[in-house]
Amino acid sequence: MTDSSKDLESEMGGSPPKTMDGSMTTFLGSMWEQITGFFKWHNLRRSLIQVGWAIMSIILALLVASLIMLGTGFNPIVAFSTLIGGALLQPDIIFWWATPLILTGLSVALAFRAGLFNIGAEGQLYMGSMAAAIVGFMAMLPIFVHPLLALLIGAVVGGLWAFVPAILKAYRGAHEVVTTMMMTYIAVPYFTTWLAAGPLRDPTLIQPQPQTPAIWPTAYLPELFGSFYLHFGFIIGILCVIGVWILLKNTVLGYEMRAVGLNEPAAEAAGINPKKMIVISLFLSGCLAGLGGAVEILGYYHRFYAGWSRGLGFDGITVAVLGANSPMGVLLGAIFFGFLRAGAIPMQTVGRVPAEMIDVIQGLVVLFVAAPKIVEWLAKREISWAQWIRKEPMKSLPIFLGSLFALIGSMILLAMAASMFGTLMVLDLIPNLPTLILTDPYMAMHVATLSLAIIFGVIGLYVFYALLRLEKRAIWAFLPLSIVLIILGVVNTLIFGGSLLIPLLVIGILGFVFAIWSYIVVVRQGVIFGGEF
Amino acid sequence: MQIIDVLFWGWIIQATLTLGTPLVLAGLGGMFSERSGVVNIALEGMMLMGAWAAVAASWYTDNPWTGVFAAIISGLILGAVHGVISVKLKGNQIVSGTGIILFAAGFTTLMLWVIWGTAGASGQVITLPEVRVPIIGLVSPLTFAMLALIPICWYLLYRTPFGLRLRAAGEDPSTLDTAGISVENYRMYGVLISGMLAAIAGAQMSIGFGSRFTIGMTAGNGFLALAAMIFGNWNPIGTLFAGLFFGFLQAISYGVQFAPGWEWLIGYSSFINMIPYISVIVALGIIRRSVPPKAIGVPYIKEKQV
Amino acid sequence: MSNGSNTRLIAIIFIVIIIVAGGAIAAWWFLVPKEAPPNPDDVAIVFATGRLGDKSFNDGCYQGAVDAVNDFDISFTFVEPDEIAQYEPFLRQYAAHLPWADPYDVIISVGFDQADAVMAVAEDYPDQAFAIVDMFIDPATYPNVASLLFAAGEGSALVGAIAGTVTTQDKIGFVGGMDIPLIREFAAGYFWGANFSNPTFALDNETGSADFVHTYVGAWDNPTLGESLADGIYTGGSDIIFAAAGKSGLGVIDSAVKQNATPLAYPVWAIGVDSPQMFLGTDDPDNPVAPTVVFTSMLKRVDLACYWVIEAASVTGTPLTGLQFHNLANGGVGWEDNETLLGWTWPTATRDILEDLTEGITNGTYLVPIDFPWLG
Repeated sequence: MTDSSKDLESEMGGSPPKTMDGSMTTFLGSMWEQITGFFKWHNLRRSLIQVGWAIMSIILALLVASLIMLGTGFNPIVAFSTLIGGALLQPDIIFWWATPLILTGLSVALAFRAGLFNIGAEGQLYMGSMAAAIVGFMAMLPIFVHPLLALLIGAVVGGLWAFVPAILKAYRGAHEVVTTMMMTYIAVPYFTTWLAAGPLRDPTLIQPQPQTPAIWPTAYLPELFGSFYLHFGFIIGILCVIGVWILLKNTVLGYEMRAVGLNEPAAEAAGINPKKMIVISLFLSGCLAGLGGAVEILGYYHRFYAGWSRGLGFDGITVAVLGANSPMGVLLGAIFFGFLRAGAIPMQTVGRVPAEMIDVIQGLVVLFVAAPKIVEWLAKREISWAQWIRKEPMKSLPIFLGSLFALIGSMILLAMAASMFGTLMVLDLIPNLPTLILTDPYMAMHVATLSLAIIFGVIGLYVFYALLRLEKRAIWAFLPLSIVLIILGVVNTLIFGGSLLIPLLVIGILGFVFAIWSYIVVVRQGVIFGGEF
Repeated sequence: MQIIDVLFWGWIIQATLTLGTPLVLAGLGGMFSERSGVVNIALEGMMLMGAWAAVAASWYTDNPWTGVFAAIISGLILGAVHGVISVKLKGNQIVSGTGIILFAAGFTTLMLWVIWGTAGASGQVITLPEVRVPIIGLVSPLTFAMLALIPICWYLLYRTPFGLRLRAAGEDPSTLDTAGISVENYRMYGVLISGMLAAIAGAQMSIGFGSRFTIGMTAGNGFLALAAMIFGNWNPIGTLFAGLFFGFLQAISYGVQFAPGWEWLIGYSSFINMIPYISVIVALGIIRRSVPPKAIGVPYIKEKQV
Repeated sequence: MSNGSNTRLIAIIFIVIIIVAGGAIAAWWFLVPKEAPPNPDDVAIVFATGRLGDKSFNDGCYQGAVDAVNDFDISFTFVEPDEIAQYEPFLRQYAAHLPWADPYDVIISVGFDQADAVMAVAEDYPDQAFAIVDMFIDPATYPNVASLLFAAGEGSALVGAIAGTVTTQDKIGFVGGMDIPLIREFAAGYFWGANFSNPTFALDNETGSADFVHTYVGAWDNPTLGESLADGIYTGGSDIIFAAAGKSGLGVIDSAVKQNATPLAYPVWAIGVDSPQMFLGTDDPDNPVAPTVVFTSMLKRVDLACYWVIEAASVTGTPLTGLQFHNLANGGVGWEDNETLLGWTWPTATRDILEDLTEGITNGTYLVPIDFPWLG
């Protein structure tokens, strides 16, 4: 053992696994240790903190997205309630959407672990799906063999599409971000489209379209649970999660890949060939992305359409980032995005909110994950809050819950303002608003309610922030906020015939109780405000 | 026939300039960012946002120059976001860039919906006044701005203390820090300039030559610009030639579709359209080995003063 | 029983109460079946992934629905999916008409790539009427689906014939979005029509004809590239370009406007596609007045087809089924004839040629090619 390999070991937090030298039983034994070790408390706790961070980022992203929705005149409450309700009613769509995302997410995560950024998973996905479709409709093979062969060839073709950037990266230093992206532009709008529109076009169509013939039913992946959408590919995705997990944790190859990713010079000094590792890991990464495409073609689409995926590969980046590049994290992240996509469907049809909101949320999630310091700061607050609540629940709870209610109340107020403003815009009343207010008491009421909602919506955001920071002024702002919530609930229902009475009343009354309680806690029991606690 | 040839080559030059300008501008932007030590793959998102902001502002004011101004503002905002995350908060620069690309794609489409009621294309706006150059044809004013920016950028980067410090922030940040100059500030400047130039590049695509914004209109030009910058070896003149070269390849890929005597190629137009992308791979992989600034991609963490 | 554990107990009870109350509100919000309200809309449209603003199928269908709303007492709703995977969930959502009490009169799917999704959903909801634009679904298996098809080549032949009479350079061009069969049908009809009215155009392109050029942008939504390409074709000596390139085609019209803004040796023209686009070639498209550089547009009357579908389903009460072929004979395709915007009147000779062509195509005398057989 040289010094540099010692350095590497300390950096990696362990020595390389010896399992490949030993027999199968020792390999399995060490795997069992890994699996039981995963459920040991300190390991679980570490994963839970990771999950907690991801959830914090998601919450922040949803908050910012709500503000964007309010600014553009959509109602975030309607959007999120239709999104969540709709997704829960159709759980099979969640897992169906998650399936390719698991595989592309794993693809990006695996490359990332080896220090590579495979931004071109989209192109590999297209090549893999095209290859699978070709095997699916050209070959005549028995059941079982047919889908297996199609999946295998899809994965290999996807891997080969990543192989070119891999070679160039390893031996010529060409930046993989640029080259994989260029390979994607070659594959998606040009090469696969040309194949689907030209030599492989479905000849049976009356009007010729860029799509291949349907694959033979022998190549179909079976459906799961009688769903219209969910297919066996989901199981394959889970198997791949376990496979990549074992690869990274339990094999020499995985260890060497991670070593190159963490510290290339040290890894080279320790006798690992970084060039080989770069090529292998990008190839495997491409294989996973290609498999993602193949699975979708065999499981759901049953033929190749030019341009069938609008960014499953790019969503894989988001999933990998959200899942902190760990296989389990990728699984959870993919299911989360499946949830968003499944909910986006009723969000558009019932809630009338454009699906681009989901893209915006996705971008924001990545941005917040990329900025660990913000989340860290919030997490620290959260932890100290949790400690305080455990120690002195009677003092801390009213303030903590009060801040949450202020946030919810302000969101409802802003949403109300947005919809009232939308009414004004639709009726085109804004230009002659001043005269209308003076002549029409109903309009005056409308505008007064609107401005009250905006003002107290902003105050609610402030109360949320200031209560979390334990500022005394927040309590004084909280009381009028609760009263305004109750009044607006009544006004909204009695005068404008709205349906916000019950939520506003509940939140207003509870908020009022919390405000009084916090006041009593502060005055009677003397909680010290304004500092760290 | 000879006149046709002259006109044809004139068009090739015009198309090279038109299609190359956004690449060069965004490439210059990427150069400032990367020279200061921050990887900026967010160029694509910044261009898209700039293109949208330019059209939106021109739509409301009927004046394309306010569009350019709005594009610059939008670029500065996105640059600030990227800077704060990757410089101040020490986040992962590539991940942050990806986030900006995703956000810009979603946000611009959402705003198409909000402003024009459709998710596909915006309304038509007034184009920046173009200049008719003999033989070449119509040339966007932003192209002249781009040509003028090259020597300015070169001077800024190599002949001013600002440029020296900016380059030091990317090559050897600890020395800069020892000299008592804030590495973080110079990296922020780099990213902000980068956002601004990338957004102007976007404006060139939406109102410099065309007259509307369409969904996802940058279509990989941000990455091509990144490639041009790498191929141009992280300096302004190299970026100019690399960007124009890629623009030229794009122009050629159209030119051969209607140039006399090349009709037999028409059945392969998909492959012709691939030429620019393939040539980028060839250029990066085979023609020259690129050497990036040394401290690129690594957040600078100030050492404790003893 | 110390004081501390007492407060802790109260706190825990409090948290439990809040969680239960919150859960109850959430459950009430999502799960308790509210009385299903009546369906506010009569027609649902699932657009193609090109989105609205494509000045083609999607906009045409939207226009047809708007016309139907203006003429009949109906309303419609729509979604703009951005990938193929969303078609089936959307169609099922509409077919199940949740949370509304009554179903839609008809669900219109725009775009060929919806065919598999429509077939899957139509099988499960045999009482729901569907219509699909730009694809054929066998009515024997799916009796509740109407397939709306368009003979794009016939319309292209008409505008090609006009182009053949208008051109002064005897050289015309074509800009397609992508090199796919659908677009080749446009180009084939266009050149065939030009050859019909102006036999100096040689269709035999074995060795390469200098009379016409057809090119492909390689993207549907990039007007900048379209404009650049069109500049080149005009520079190369063609004076008319037929743009069948979606949003990229808008750049071709921009190019024609700019080329004419500074005096050239000869005027250049563009031809619009799918919907009336002559107004786009005027100086101010918001208040179009003559002159325009787009002298006609090839009309694919998707609006009319959708209007008929909606009329049959919502007004007459008997939804259309089976193949609905729209061609020159029933006015489903045509050319934009707008002399006020043009600023001059079409000569009788041109109109005669068009009449002859229309009649010949309708009764089968002339057969418009749908691809380039002569390219080999």
